[in-house]
Amino acid sequence: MKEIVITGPPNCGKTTLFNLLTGKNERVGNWQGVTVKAVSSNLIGKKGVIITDLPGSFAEGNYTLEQKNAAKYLYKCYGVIVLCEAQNLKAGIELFNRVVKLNKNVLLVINMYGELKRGGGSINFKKLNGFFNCFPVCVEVNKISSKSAVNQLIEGLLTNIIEQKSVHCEQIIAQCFKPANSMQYAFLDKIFLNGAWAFIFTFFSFAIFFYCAFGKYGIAGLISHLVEQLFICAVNQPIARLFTVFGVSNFICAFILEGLLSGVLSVLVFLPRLAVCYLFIFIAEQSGVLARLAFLLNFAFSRFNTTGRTFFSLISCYGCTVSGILQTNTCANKEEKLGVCLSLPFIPCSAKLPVILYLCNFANQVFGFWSVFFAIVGGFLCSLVVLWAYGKIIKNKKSFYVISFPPYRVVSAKSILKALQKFVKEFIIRLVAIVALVNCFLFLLTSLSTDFKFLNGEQIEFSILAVVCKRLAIIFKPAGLNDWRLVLSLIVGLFAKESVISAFTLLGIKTINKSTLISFLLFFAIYPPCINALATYKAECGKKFTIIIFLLYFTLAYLAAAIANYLGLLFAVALILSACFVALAVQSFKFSVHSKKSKKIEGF
Amino acid sequence: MNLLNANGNVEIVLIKLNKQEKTQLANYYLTEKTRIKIIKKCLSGVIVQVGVNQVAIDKEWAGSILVK
Repeated sequence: MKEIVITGPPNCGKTTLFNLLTGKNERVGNWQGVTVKAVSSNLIGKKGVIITDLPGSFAEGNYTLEQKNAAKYLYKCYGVIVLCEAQNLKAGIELFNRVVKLNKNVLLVINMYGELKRGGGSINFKKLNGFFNCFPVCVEVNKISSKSAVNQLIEGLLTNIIEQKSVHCEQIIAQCFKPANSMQYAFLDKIFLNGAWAFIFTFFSFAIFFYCAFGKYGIAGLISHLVEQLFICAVNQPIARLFTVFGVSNFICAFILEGLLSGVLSVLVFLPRLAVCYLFIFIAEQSGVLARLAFLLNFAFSRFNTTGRTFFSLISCYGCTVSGILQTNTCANKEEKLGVCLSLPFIPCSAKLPVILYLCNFANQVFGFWSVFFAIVGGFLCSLVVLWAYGKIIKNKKSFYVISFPPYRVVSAKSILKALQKFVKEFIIRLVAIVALVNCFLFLLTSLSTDFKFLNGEQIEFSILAVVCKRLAIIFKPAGLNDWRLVLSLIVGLFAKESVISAFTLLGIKTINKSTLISFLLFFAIYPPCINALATYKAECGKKFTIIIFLLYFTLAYLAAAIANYLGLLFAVALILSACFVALAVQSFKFSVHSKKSKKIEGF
Repeated sequence: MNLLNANGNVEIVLIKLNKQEKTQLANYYLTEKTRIKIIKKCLSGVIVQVGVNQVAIDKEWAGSILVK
């Protein structure tokens, strides 16, 4: 089995090339550090060849955690593709020389030559080829789409990965390379490198997307309604008719229609809303704006004992807690990584948001819209407070932040569609694999009595799960959750947060009184992340840390729900918000004092 | 020498780097001898032009390496 590794400086298109060669759809983005772990897959149409995509690196061993891991792959592989942007030819050639020293078969591949040309730069390929044993390959990875072009590229790469000798980098750059005079869309710097304008622009863009996703008349709401009608007409009704025609037993009918399909549908209707939210993050990532925002926010994050790198983890966490945890691999040291990991469960992931919206719609629709908004903003603030508290307890070594800004790029419709396709596919796989499975178990266990006899829907109170959960509900009584069905929904939510909605549908929870709803909402928003995220915590941070996370967030959720239950929502929210504001005020005060001193000393 | 008071477009020489800082900055083609151009200063730090790339450097770090 031959292993070919793709390496290169950050943000040069390695994952795009990997996706092209393997037919995969791994996450791509226009900023440094999108890929944090090596990913391997078989090469299309060639048996016995594995392609491995590595995180961006300037050398074979480096400083961040993920770069150190990536170096291991370079030592054991058969051949290496060194990919570089045409604009950064020098970085590519230097990395090429480092790989040659490892006695590996290697090929230099130059990407995005068009961008260099548009900026007024050029490469003299005739002269450049003279320096190498085997000519470097020039590609526009983004523009290759047809199968024949991909096959041609694969053939070209496989035949050209050979043993090479070191080349003289300075000489090549002097003789063959003319840098670009200007960056494309440089005028955008006036907005995105100006703190106030950048935040105003981002806030308004976010508000528009947010309304489209969760607003009463937002486009996502209309699509959700269409999806619901389509599912009922195309799936539910035909299956129900088939069951009637073939005289299928009532139990199986109820199991399929109420247990499986209604559970899936109740979650599926939220897909369009999440897709619109995801679109906003995707456009910010691809256009190159996110990297600039991360740096502009560095001053705020530095007050909370971390750096702008944390912004990427927090933003990724809005999609899925797992990707947020993996993103912490870009942290400079382990203490910083653990601090960021500790703060992540406060961020509502794409599975939590639909549940919050669903629960709040019990009260009324306007309340639902604002609750989702506060969950997003409040989650961010609470994470900052956790980071601050962590920094006070564990005095980690201050890490510095240096980032190379990606160029501004127009986000193409093709890349949007591809990313949406990936998002929808993952959502549906998760829905079918976990939510449907959990629903089936839930349905079976609520249909069986303690002496294993089948019960009808009205006798659910005597089922195995009801008996167990009624005992557990005693523990949750001080938190205002004395209904066994709510306790069961929370347990189910630990497997997949979306399952809470289907559990509500299945257990027939149609009304909740306001005080219970508020306690449940607070508990749900804060309690530990799903089992998948906990497994990732265990793999990334260890068993002890995972137990700490679980206990900490369970206790916090319990306390918040109990405070809301005994003292009322206003007090609970006021307590949480005042804790956030006190922390922010202390940090702002310290920052202003620090800035004044800095001005005196350095002129900042 | 109050370099950071000047309004952008100031060429400066990096000094006082420790070993780790040197290695990290070398990744962005910045060495002790590099003359770089500040294109923007903000609360978070400075953004400098290195070739065609814009590299943003943390304020605290910029303070320690840019000032004599």
